[in-house]
Amino acid sequence: MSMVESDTLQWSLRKENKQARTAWGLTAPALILMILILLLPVAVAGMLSLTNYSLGNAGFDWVGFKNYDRLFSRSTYEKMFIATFTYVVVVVPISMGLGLGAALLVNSIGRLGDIYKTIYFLPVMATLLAMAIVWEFMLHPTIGVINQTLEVSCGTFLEFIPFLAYGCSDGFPLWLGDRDYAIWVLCFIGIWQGFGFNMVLYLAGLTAVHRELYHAAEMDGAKNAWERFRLVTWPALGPTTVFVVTISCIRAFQVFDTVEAFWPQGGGPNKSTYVMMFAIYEKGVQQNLIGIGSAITMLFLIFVMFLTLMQRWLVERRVHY
Amino acid sequence: MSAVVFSGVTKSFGSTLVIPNLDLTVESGSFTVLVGPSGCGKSTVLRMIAGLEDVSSGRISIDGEDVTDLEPSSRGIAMVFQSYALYPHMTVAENIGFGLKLGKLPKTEIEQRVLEAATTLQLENLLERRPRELSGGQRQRVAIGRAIVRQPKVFLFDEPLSNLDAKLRVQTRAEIAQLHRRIKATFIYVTHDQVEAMTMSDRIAVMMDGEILQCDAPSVIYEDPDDIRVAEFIGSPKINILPIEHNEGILSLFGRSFGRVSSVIKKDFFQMGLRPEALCLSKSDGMLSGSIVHVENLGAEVYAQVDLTDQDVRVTFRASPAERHLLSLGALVSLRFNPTDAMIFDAQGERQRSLEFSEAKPLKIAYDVYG
Repeated sequence: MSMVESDTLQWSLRKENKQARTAWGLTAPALILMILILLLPVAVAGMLSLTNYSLGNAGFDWVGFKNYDRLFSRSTYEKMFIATFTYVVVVVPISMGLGLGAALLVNSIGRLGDIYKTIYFLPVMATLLAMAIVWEFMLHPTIGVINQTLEVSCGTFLEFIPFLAYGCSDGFPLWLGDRDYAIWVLCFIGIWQGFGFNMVLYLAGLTAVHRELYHAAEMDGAKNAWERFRLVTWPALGPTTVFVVTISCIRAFQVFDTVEAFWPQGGGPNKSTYVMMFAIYEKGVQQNLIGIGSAITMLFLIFVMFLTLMQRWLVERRVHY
Repeated sequence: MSAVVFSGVTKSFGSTLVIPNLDLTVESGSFTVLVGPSGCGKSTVLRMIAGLEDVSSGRISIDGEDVTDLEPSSRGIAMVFQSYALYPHMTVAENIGFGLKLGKLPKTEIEQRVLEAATTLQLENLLERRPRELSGGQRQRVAIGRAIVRQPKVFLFDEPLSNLDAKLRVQTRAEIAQLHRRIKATFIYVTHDQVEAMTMSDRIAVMMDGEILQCDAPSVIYEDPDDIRVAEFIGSPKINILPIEHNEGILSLFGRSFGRVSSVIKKDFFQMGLRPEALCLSKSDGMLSGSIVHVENLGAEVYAQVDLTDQDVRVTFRASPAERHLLSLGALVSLRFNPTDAMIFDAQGERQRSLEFSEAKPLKIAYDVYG
C-alpha cells in the first residue's frame, strides 16, 4: 500500500518537475532578453554610479557614495533639483487642467470637435526640437515677434499694466536669456506642447462615462453643470486622471529637447533651466563623467519608479470602483 | 384622479418630428406600460415626463400640476434606468440616499428612509457595498431603492429588465408587479418586450411611429385590437394575416366563401387576422390546407408553421402535444377556424367590426367552415 503511494507520489513529483522545466524553458528567451536589455543596464548604471569611471579609461576607482554626496551638496545640483521640480510642479497640473477642459469642450460640440481635436494635437505630433527653434526666433529679444508685438502697446492706454510700462521704459525681457524668465518660458512651451496629449487621454476616458448617469444625477437634483461634473464626470475620470498625472510627471521629468535647443551650453542663464535629463546628458556624454552621470540617472529612475508605484497604489485603492 | 396627462404634446429633434401629437392620460395608481418597437418614441415620452427632454409644444401635468417647465427633481417623480445608472464611487446606502441628501433632508431621516427602502428590497446586508460588488439583479434593486426612497407620485421605468438574464427577468417582473401592489403609486413602464407588457400592466399603450395606437387593458389589447399594427405587435407567435374579399355581404378566403354579413359594400379587399390558437387541425377539409415547414415544441404546446397550398402565405397554428405525431415536416394538413375568432381590418389596417361575426349573430356563421 505504502509502496504504491510513494510510487504515485514520485510519479506526480516527476510530472510536476517536468512541467516546471518546460515552463522555465518556454519563458527563458523572454526572461533573458528582459534581463539583458532592461535590468542589466540599470544594474550597470547603479554600479558605475559608485565609481569615477570615464569612457576610454583603462580602469576606475570605487568612490562609494561620493557621487551621490556631491549631488546633494553642490549648488549646481541644487539648481538642477529646483529647475526640475519647478518644471514638473508647473507643467503637470496646468497641462492636465487644460487637457481636461479641452476634452470636455471638444466632447460637447459634436462634429466640429474633430477639427479642434486635430488642432490641439498638432504640437504633440510636431518635433519638439524643430518647434523649439521656431520659439527661439519668436522669443528673440530684439527681432522676435513677441517683443515686437509688446512694443506696439507702448504709448497706448495698455501701458497702465505694470509689466508693459516697465518693458516700455527699460526694455522687454530677454526671455530665454533672462534667469527670471527662462524656466517659465520652458514651462509654457512644455504645457503648449503637452496638453493636447492629455486631452486625447481624457477624451478616451470621457467615452466611458455613461450618459444615463447624467440623467440620474439630474433626477436626483443636480441642477447645474458643475454639480453634474463633480458627481458623475470627475469620479468616472478617476482612473484616467491617475494615468494622466503619472504619464505627465514622467514626461515632465524627461524634458530635454527644449533645453538642449535653447541652451546647448550649460542649462540656461544661471543654470535656471538645468533640468535632470540635461544634467545626465551634460555630465555623462558631453563631459564624459560617467560616474556622476550614472548617479543622476539612478536618482531619476528612483523618482520615476516612485511615481509609477504611486499610480499602482492609487489605481488599486481609490479610483477603480 | 389622473396622475399624468399629456395634452397636445409634440416633440422634434432638429427637423425630425418624433412625436406628432400626443394626448395621453395615465390614471393614478395604475401600472401603465408603453410598448412598441425600438425607435417608436416610447422612451422619449418617458423622458419628457421625467423632464430630461423638453417638449416642443403642448403641456404635461402630473397630479394636477403643470410640470412642463419644472426641473426633473421637483416633479415628484423617480426613474429607474436601463443601465441602473448607479454612481460607481458611492456605496449602496449613499446611492439610495443621494437624492435626499441633495434635497437637504436631515441626516437621521435620510438614514431611516434608506434603511426602510433597503428592507423592502432585501438590501440591508449590502448597504456598505459598492455597485461593482453587486450582481445585476442586486444593482437593479438598488436602482429601484433609489426611486422608492424619494416617495414619488409617479415611478418611471425605462426598460429596466433588459440587462438581466432570462430567469432573473421573470423573477424581477413579479417583484416589480408586487411592489406596485404594495406601494400603490403610479407606475409608467417602457419596454419593447410584449411579454413584460402583458404580464405586469393593467394598461398597455401600444406606440408606433410616435403615436399611441391603442391604450387599453392587456386582455383588450390582445383580444380586441383596434389596429392591425397592434394585433401584429402583441402576441407571440405573431397573428396570421390573410387577405379576404368582401362582395355584397359574402366574405371569401382564397376564392372560397366562408360567411355572410349584413353589409352593402360592393366588392372590396380586406385583411383577416387569426391568432395561432384560433386555427386548429381539421380531419376533413378545412378552409386552409398546406404542408408543415417548421415545428416549435414548447412542451405544453406546439406551434407549427404551414405553407398554404398554391398560396404565397405562411400561417402559424397552435396544436396540443397530443397532436404532435401529426406534425411531421412536409406533412399535408388541413386547418379550420371559427369565424367568430376572425378580426377584420381594412387595407389601411383599421379594424372593421361591422364586417365581423360575433356570438350574437350565430346565423351568419357559414356552415361549411367546420370540418
